[in-house]
Amino acid sequence: MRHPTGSNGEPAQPLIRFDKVTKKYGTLTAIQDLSLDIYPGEFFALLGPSGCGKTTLMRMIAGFEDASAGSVLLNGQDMSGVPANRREVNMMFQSYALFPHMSVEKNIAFGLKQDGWDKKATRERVDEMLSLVQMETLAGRKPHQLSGGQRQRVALARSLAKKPKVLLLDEPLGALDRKLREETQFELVDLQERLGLTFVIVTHDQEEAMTVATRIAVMKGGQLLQVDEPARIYEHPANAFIADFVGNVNMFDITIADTSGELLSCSWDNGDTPMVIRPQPEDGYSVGDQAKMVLRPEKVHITKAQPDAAHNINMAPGEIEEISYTGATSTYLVRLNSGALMRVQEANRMLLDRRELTWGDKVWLHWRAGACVTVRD
Amino acid sequence: MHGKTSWINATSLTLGFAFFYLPLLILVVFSFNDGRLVTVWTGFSLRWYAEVLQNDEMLEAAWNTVRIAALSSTMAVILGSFAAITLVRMGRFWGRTLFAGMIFAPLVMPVVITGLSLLLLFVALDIQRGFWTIVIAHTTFNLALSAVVIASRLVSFDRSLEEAAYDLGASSFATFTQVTLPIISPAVVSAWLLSFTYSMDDLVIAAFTAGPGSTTLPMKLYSSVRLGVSPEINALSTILISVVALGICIAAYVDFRRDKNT
Repeated sequence: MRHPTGSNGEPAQPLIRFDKVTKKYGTLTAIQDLSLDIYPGEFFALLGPSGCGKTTLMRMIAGFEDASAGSVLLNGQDMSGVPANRREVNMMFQSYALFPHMSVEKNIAFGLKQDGWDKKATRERVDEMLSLVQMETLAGRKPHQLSGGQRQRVALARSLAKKPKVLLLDEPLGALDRKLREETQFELVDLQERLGLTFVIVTHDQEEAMTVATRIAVMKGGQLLQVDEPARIYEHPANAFIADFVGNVNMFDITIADTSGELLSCSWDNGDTPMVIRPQPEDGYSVGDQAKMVLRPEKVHITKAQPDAAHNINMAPGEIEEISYTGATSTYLVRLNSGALMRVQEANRMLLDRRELTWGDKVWLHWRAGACVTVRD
Repeated sequence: MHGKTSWINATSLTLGFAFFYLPLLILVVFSFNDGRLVTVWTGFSLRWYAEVLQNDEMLEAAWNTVRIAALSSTMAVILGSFAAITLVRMGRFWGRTLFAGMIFAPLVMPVVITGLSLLLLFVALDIQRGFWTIVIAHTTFNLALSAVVIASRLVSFDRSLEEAAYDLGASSFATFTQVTLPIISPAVVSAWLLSFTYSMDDLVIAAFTAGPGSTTLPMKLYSSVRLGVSPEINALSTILISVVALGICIAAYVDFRRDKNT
């Protein structure tokens, strides 16, 4: 990873630091005693359901909101009292907020004009930005003459024109259709890597966060639940909320039965046979502990024939209740003989008419001990 | 609405428009009449226009009217903008409903009452009535009109535009002059034009608040009609109708452009 350590292995100086920040609106607490470091060069995502405080956090970096307690530091400097127009931070708004009475060029040049750039330098910078977002041919258009995707590009160019230390992106792709959104996500990542800037994105879309971000902070109720790389968030969620919020999941209550072997053995409320789970180093369970087992649907295999037994394989028989076909994959809802419902996702490697499985089929599910992780609550 | 207009619709439309515009049409037509009688057509002529343009009293009244209209609309638009911004932007401050009600009240108040109360005020304060008292009176009414027009524009104004400007380094003043004002300017322009036309054709308030030497065109018209209708008045009225119609058309056009652009 490009962070959070510097080249010599020392911890890098954070670019943005939230130090025990609390934000209250009247009696409502939007942010509760939150501390967070964001390092230079990161593509950092603030992810959470609406009302979790992620937008408030972003607006505090921009300077639109002040902390009720604690401090926000930019490059080690306390930002309290520094207004938004004096911060080397720019924001791309959810609505894009393009000035409707100005052409694309004038929109991009707006920030430069405020800083008193001369004509020639402004011209050059605007041209540079236009080619960065491939909008050279539409420089003279007004925003209402552009498509949604084009507006998004202009908004991006405008917020990058002043070479901010941090670019804030507030749900930047929400207004685009799915295909364009996916393309744009890759373009954003590419842009961020080429420019070497720090991007902070606010989103409620976990797929978007995982696609673009190098690190994700999952928020709920004004607090940070987990700050980690995307794969860690997905595969090693810190708690049941994150496991459920990020992606689809099967979750079962388990009781640890045996910790002596290489694998944990546990009883689960719906199964007759014990489940084996490969423990994580930080788990530290003892016999009798209660926990939740988290199993992603794509990590479960579904077959008609009973699979060969092995010490690190869990298996359970069941019956297909529901199949949802989404093109690339199919999701099966399987009622286990023990009564539990398990979600299984398989890639559609064959054409649909060649598929062996159908509604009501008796099937076997199996998953490896290493595919399961546990969370405490 | 689709399909053909039924005959009953066509008839009611024709009758309605005739009711509205036939009198005006007759007035306009007879302003080009050659004869002295207002009701007998004798031939086409522009002589009454020429006479109006040589009538110093009429011209002075017209000049008064235009100056009063321009001054009062300008003041009304400035004050109306502040009122609209306060109403739309300041959130729920104490007494907001009362404030809004008091801003909009002159619109629904009978003009006779507005005129009379202003007259009583000027008398009580011992202010010499004349040109400036009419300006003040018209500003009062136009202020309400402007505030309504501008507030309706501000309600649909995306606040993130101002935040974006501020975020890009603009001061509050630069944000207002470079972003807010240009975006609401069509509303400001149409508020000004509506105020101007209102002021142009107001008789009642002006009659209450005028003094010697500050006769406006509608007052002049009204007093001359009492002495008998002369074709000169038709000519003058036609000019007045044209000016007012032009003002309203421009206001509508500005509004139309604004809708198209956003």
